[in-house]
Amino acid sequence: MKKRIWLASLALTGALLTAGISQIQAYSLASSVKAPADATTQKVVAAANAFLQTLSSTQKSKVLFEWSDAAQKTKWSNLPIGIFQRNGIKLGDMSSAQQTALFALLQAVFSKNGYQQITQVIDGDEVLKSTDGGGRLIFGKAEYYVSFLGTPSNTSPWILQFGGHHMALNATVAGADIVLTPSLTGGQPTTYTLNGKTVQPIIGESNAANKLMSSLSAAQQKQAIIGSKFIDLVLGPGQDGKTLQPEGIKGSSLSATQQELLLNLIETRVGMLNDEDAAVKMKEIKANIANTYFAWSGGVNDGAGAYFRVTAPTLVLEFSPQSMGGSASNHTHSMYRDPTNDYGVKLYK
Amino acid sequence: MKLIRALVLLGWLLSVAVAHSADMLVQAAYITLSPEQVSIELDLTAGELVAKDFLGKLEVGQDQNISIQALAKTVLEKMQLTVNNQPVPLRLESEQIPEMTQIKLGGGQIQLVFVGTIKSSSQNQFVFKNNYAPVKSGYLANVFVQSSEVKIASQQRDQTQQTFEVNYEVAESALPRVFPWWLGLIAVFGVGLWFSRGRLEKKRNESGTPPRFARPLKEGF
Repeated sequence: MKKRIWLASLALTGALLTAGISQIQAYSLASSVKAPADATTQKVVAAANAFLQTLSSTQKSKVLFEWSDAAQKTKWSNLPIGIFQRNGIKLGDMSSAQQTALFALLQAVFSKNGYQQITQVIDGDEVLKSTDGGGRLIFGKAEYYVSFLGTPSNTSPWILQFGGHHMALNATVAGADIVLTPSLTGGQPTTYTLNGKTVQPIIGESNAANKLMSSLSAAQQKQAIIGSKFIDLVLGPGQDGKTLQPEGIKGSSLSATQQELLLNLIETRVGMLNDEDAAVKMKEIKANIANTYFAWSGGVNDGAGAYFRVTAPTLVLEFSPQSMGGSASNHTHSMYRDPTNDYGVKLYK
Repeated sequence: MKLIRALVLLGWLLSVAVAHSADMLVQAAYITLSPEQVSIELDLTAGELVAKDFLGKLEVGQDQNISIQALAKTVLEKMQLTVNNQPVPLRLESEQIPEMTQIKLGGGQIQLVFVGTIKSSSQNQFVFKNNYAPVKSGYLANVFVQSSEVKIASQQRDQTQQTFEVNYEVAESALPRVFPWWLGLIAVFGVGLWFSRGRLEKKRNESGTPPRFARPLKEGF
């Protein structure tokens, strides 16, 4: 009898231990990255920690969110304050030293071109504020917010969120990998003068798209065109988890030169990210170029503005001119997603 | 003077940088297919210039909240979905309503999700029509699939994207197994035969006719 009780206790203890260990494993696996941090990530983590060190404890509590905070993860938009309220802390509430540290972090995450585009869009929003500001909609340089999901780390995944009017950047950092999906870019005005210089934050992208479209034959354009007018973003804010069905002309129907033009167009967006992580993404995109589609909605070279979309197994790019703000090309929204890896879900277990 | 003021205000509103078209109700339809079900997520976002008119056309309760049932009913009356030429009855499954102030500012998004049961075969076509237009509207229609068993063959939209036609294929493995009609016919015939044989035997017994197997063998056999 005693032996039986002893055996039963042993079995019960074993079961409890096994369950406990699997629970612990599940917890630790939930936040473990697939590849160890490389030099780029280490630089980004150091810059993030340097920024956090400039903050007061009150500011830190506003800017740091739990890694598991699903609501905060998806709380991003292109809309101005007044219609959409962001969390975190805004540039307008930061000291000059804090702003410098934040911009140093952005420089570490993004490429030279990407960082330039970010600052130009912010400057553009300030220009817009000086001409159309006021009222119930609040925008301008002071209204760009930063927040973090998880704590900056070389070993656990975390997300840097930076955004304001016409911008929502979500950079997931997971060990060696940094991804920028989903992110929204755009701007108004897309052409302005600052300190005597003409600034055009998104000109590279629209030029690349027009160049590709112009390179297509009439028959190819017919395949690419899915509508006669520009349309809004399909997978903008709030549309996570949806995978667009490919439309337009397929990469395998393009000549080698046209494929190169398509890659150039994709690179204008993917290349916002630092060179090393952008190269990883571009390699994946090149491997899938035959299964990449290019679609166009609007006139061709008529100046009225056109929507375009690139769809690939691991990529969705959208570009949407907006009908307000003078000409349609002076106000645009763009979306960059990876239907398989938004928020870097593939990069951690 | 009033006219000048109104023009200045209109100019300001048109130039203000909100997220989408200020002068229309954007109606984005996200249609998701599975072999047996279709779901239509309709996102309604009124621009600032039409938000007041749009709200004026909605039924609002004493609590100042939008009557979602009334809105869903109106939308359903103006929306059509056919699969393989058969109308698909739709019902409201869920909704999300932003705060009234958000809608008034232009940018608040009302989300209605409708679902319907469909019968798919290996080759199918659905036609979606959205004629809901309480105010000037801009339309988007896109299709999504819920499983690898559904493949989109082609998509066609009219100029305004109010009509959206999609040809799609469903893998044989995902189709409901249909009992062949001719097997059923044979089964019915078999049962009928068995039943009538029993009745025939009974009649023979009653009339004294010996059953076939009990008849005397012919002589010389």
